[in-house]
Parts: sequence; structure tokens; C-alpha cells
Amino acid sequence: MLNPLESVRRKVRLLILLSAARNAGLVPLPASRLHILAYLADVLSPVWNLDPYDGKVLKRPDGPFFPELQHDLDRLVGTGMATVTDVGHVSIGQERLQVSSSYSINADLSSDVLQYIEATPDEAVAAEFLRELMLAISAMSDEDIDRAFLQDATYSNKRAGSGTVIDFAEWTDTNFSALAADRIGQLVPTNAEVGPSEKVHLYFRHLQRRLHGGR
Amino acid sequence: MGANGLGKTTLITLLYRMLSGPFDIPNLTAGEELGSRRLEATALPPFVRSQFAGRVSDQAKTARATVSIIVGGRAVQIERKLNNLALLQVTVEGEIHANLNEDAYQELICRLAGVGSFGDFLLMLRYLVFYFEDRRALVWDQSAQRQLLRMLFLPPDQAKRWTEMEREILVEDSQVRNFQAVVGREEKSLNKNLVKAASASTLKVELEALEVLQENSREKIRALGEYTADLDNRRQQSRASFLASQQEREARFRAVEAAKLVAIQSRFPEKAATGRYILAHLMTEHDCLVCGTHVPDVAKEYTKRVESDECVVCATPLGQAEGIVEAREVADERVKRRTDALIAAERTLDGDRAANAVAEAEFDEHRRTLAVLEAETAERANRIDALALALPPSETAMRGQRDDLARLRAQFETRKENLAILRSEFAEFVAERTDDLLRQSEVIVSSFAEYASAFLSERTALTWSTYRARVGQTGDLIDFPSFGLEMTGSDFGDTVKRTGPADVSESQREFIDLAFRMALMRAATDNEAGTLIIDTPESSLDAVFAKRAGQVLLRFSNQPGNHLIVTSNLVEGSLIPTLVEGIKQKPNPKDRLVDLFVIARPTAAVQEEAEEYGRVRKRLLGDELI
Repeated sequence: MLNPLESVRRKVRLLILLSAARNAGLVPLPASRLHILAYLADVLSPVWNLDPYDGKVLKRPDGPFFPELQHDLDRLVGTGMATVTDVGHVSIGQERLQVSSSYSINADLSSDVLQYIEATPDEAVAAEFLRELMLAISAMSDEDIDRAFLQDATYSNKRAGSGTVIDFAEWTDTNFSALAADRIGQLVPTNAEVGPSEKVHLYFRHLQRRLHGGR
Repeated sequence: MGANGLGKTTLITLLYRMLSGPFDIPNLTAGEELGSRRLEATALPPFVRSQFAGRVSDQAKTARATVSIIVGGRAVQIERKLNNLALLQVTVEGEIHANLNEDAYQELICRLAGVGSFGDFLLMLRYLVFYFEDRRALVWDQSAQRQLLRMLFLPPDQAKRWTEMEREILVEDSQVRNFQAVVGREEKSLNKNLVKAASASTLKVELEALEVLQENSREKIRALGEYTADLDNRRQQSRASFLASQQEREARFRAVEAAKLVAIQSRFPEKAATGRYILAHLMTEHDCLVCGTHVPDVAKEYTKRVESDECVVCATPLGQAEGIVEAREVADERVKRRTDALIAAERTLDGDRAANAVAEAEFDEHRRTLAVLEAETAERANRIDALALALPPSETAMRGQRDDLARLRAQFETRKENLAILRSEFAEFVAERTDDLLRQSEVIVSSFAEYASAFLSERTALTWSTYRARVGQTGDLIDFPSFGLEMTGSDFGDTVKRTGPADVSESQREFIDLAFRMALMRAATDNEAGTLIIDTPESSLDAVFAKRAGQVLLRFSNQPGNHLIVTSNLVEGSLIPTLVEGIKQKPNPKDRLVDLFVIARPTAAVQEEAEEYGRVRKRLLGDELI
């Protein structure tokens, strides 16, 4: 059974994520890209001193995908707070399909919830983090975003093979991505302090360089 | 003379620091008796050395001061830097002593003043010559008196010997008390061990029982610990299976959903993607995405409409429109196969979910059990430690402790006896020196009566007496020489002993002490030459006493060789006119007045009220001195 409270938390997080994606010009978001963004948000949340919503992910060749999150996204469509376009599915082999529809936020129906979130200190910080994250990732092309997980320090860790669970915050706290973002922040040749926003921006720039053959 | 803030006290302090240099007797706090504190001159901390630097904006970098004094009949000039009180030069009878360090200066000044140590010299300045605002009273401080009498009336070597003997007793007294504390601790420890020995058998029984329990618990923890890795491994695998099943179920679900979607997409208006999405989901999962309700009957109805080529929403027959997918598409073999696969995936997911929950619960329970056992073991370990401490040491160790204590007691007794001998020698020494001091008492008593009668209406008399005090915190009391004050009061005719400053009025208090100082000076100096430096004496005087005070001060200053320096605010009353009259009788009267209204940097109040201050100055000083 799905935990109803967890489900509400995920729905709130989905609304914040969709709203931030809209601000960064990233909507409509295809389902696979939305799941990649949700994963990156989880794995980089320690840079902002936030706890991730989900501290684990099943490693798949096609990238991260969270069935419970998809379930909640479907519910948001049902309530009208999210809208769906390009409804469709894509085969992942052996008569198994993955939803490929694209999602946006319905600004009219979700505005009350978003305003309430902004007035709640903890959620407002989470919203600020997701806004920064989306702005940082919007500098990448759609193709690069869809492949970003391939160079992410945690997801690409060769010690975890496909089909195994990558645990970065549930039972362990081995989060190479957050460590890498911190380390990259320290390498900046300036005396000025590098804040969490800058670290996230620098981390995505680093991913982009690696996707194009750089180190 | 000046107003508040013009620098009267600074000038008096400057005079003192020119003589003391960067040294002083520590902790001479106003209002406290001198007691038996160490009378050794100690270097001042940097912030006190630079006290004058803070008064000016350039930190007195280049400021220097020179004081000219007569000490022991010799003319001495001392020059110091004002930013840190460093000694620059000392001249004695015109002979320059360049490059003199503080040690050499202190030795020189002590020799000239005829005192045994620089500490004594500073004590003399503070209790005899300088009368600062903090008013260190001498006549009521018997411990200070005994030091002053010693210093003024005994030859320097005897005075020094007195101090050394007193210091030796204080050091020894402190060590004996420390020793006593050590002996006390050892006695307590031995007693404790004796008590422990009495209850040892009960403690041993409890300790043995606890150690058995502890060993059992440790064995359980070890055994449980071996399972931890296995249980963790199991829950990791369960989680992986559960997540994989979730993914599988999702993929199977979306496959069925896709098939349903194909069937309904042409039965929906082109732009109603969200509607199609919701219906496809409902027909696949039988859950309403809008309200979350599980509605299999509704799903069945919608599926029937699709199969009958009716509008999914309103059931209107649609006919064979172009692009419409055949109804059998929905019910074909492929959909059935996909649905079967979904059902199988859901079964697996349910099983994996349950297995995952069990694995996690087992692991959590295992951790809880371990935590409880570990907490119990830690608590029991504390109790075992406490019991081990409560057990007595071995017989051999206790015998050793008894021997040690006996040795310590013997040493303690020896030191106590030594201390008693030191005290007795000192008491004898003081008794002999008191006879020497008694020879001076007559002059002191008569001089005091002379000075005091000019100031006080009451009949006053100094009486020579001994007071008993302890040197250190233990031991017998020793008789010391001292003077007491007797005085007639307004409601009793005979003289009555006044034991403290609270027994007399404020006006009387300061001038009784001044009279005592003047008397001591007269008795201590063959040529009657002495110096008094008094900071703002007018503050405690009423109008009548102010005039008398002025006259007493003039009488002191008129005695050959004496010097008097008085600072005063510009106050109405008789003190200033009386002193001014005295000055006018002397040669070069203008040189005898330091008028801070003329030479000091004016304060804001002085600038603002310049006219008023001018009028009062003229009235009090007269034209001759302005």
C-alpha cells in the first residue's frame, strides 16, 4: 500500500518541480526527463542542506524512474493541477512500456497550493532549491538533460550495476554527487565563498563538459 | 586648582608615578585594611603603565616629566617617559645617573629614604605622603600602622628583618595548611577503605553475580552480531526485488494502458488529451484519477462503450468514422495477454512488498534487541566499576597507606613545631622592637594633640596600646604596637575610644587621619621636613571645618622644610581663601598656585561657563594671584 502522507509530500514536491521547470522554460516535461530531474534534485539536496524525498533509486539503463512518483503525477493530472500533452507510451522491450507523455503545471488550479508552500519556511527553501536547480539545468540542451544521469557521480558509479539499488540517503549516506558539487565549489580560484547555488550551477556545467568528452 | 576634568587627580597621580615608576603593591583596594598581604613592589600591567598616554591624542609619544624632590636631605631629580613610565635619568645633588634601570633606581631611592625595601617606600608614599581620593586611612588600620611604625622608626636592617620574618611565617603557615589538607585527605581515604573493608563480602557477592550476567549479555551480543550482516543483506535484496517489481508492474500497467488508449483516442475530441489520459488510466487500473476511487463497474461500462463504437463520455453511437480503431482491438488477444502479464506483475509486486516489509521489520527488531542489550550491558558495566571502586584495596596496600599516613603526620607535626618556633621568635623580635618604638610614642602623641586640637572642638588623644593579631591563618596571636584614638563626644564628657571611622563624622575622619600622618612625620624626621600631597580635601568639609582645615594645613606647611600640595575644585567657602592667604605671605606667591584654568586644555563646561568661572576665580583668588 502506498503511504498516503508520503504521497502528499511527493505531490507537493511534484508541483514545486513543475512550477520551477515552467519558470526555467523547461515545460512541457516528458515523463523520462521529469524523473531524471526528480533524481538529480534528490541527489543534490544535501548541497542545500535539505533531506532528499527519496534516498534510493533502482539503477536502470534508461535512467531513473520512480513508479510511485508517476502514480502521484497521474493523480495530479486527474485533479487538474497538472496537464498532460503528447499522451503516449514508449516500448522498453518485451511488451513492456513506459509512459512518454509530457507534463506541465496548471497555473490556475495549483496557484493556491504554491502560494501556501511559499509561506511555509521549510517548503519555501525547498522551492528555492528547485528553482535554482531548474535554472542551472536549463543551460543544457534537452538531449544533454536526458543523458545527464550517465555522467552523474552517484548514478554512474560502476560499483552499482544495473538492477541494483543505489542508496545515497536511506540506509547509507554515500552521496558522490553532493561530494563532487562541494569539491568543484572548492576548486573555484577565488577568495569569495561559493554558495550552494553556485555549486549546483558548477556541477551541471561539469556534467555537460563530461557529456561532450571533457573531464 | 581646577574644575572637574581639568586634570587635578592626573597631576597628583603623575607625581606618585614619577616616584613609583612602573611598579606598585598589588591589590591595595580602597576601604580594605592592609592586613598581612605581601608588601613587595610588583611590575604594573601595560595598561596601567600607559595610563597617561590615554589622556592625549598622540599617546604621549614624546612626553616626558621630571620631578624634583628632597629625600633624606639630598636633592633628587627623576625624569620619566610619560607613555610607559620608563626611567630616563636620575640626578642626585647634580650628579647624573644615566642608564639607571628600575632595580638600581629602587635601590638608590630606598637608600636615600632610609627604608629597607621599595615596597616599604611605596607604602610610605601611599599611607603618609599622598592622600588620594580613595583615602587610605591609617589611624584606624592597625595592620597598616604596624608596618608604618616599623618602617619609620626602626633602622632599615631591623625593619627589613621584621618583614622577612613575617613573610617567612606566612609562607610556612600556608605550607603547613596545605600539608594539613594532605594529611586530612589521606586520613579520609584510609577511613573510607576501612569502611569498605567492613562491607567487602556483600559487595563481592554482588560483583560476582553481575559479572556472570555481564558475560552472558556479551555472549548474546556477539551471537546476535553475527546475524546483523545476514539480515542487512536480506533487507537489501528484498528492497531491490521490491523496486524491480514496482518497475515491472509499472511497465506492464503502461502496456495495458497504451492498448486502451489506442482504442479510445479516436472516440475523443482531438484536444482532450487529459480526458483520454484519465479514461485510459481508469479503464486499465479501475481507479478514478480525479477522485482516487476504485470503480471497476464504471471501467467496465466505458470499455463496453468503446467496444460498441459509442462515445465514451455520453454513449452516443458514433458509426464507422475514418480512423476509428476497431472495437475488437480492445478485446483482442494482445490486450488479454498484456492484462494477464499485468495481473502477474501485480501479484509479484504484492509478494515482494510484503517480503520487503518483513525483511525490514526483522532487521529493525534485530537492531532494537541489540540496542537494548548494549544499553543494559553499559549500565551494568558502570555498576561493576562502581563496585570495584567500593572494594577495599588489598591488606598490603592498606598497611602501606597506614604507614604513609603515619609518616605524613610526623612531618606535619615537625612543620607545625617549626612554625611555632618561627612565631615565637618573631613575637620576641616584635616585643624588643616595640620597646624601640615606644620611645617615639611620646612625640607622636603630643604632635597629634597639637594638630588635632587646632582642628577639632572635641578633646582627642592618641593612646599607645598593643593589639593582638595572628600572622597567617593559624597559630598564636602576637602583640603588635599600635595607636588608638580617644575622643570626647557631644553626649559624654570623658574620652571614649573610637574604634573605627564610622565612630566619627566625615569632616573629623579625614583630618584626624591627616593629624596622625603629620604627627608621624614630625616624629620620624629629625629636621621636621615632610611632604603632604592631598587630593581635593574640601569635599567632606562643612563651612566651619573648612576654615580650620585650611589653618591646620597652613601650620604644617609653615614648619621649616615641610611641603604641602593640595588640589581643590573651585568651591565657595573658606578653604581656598585661607590657603590663598597663606600663599600670599610667602615669597613668589604666583609660583605656588598651579591654576589649571590657565594651563590646562579647557573642558566643554569650562568653555561654556568661562565668564562665571572667571568671576568666582577672581573672588576667591583676588587680583594678586590671577
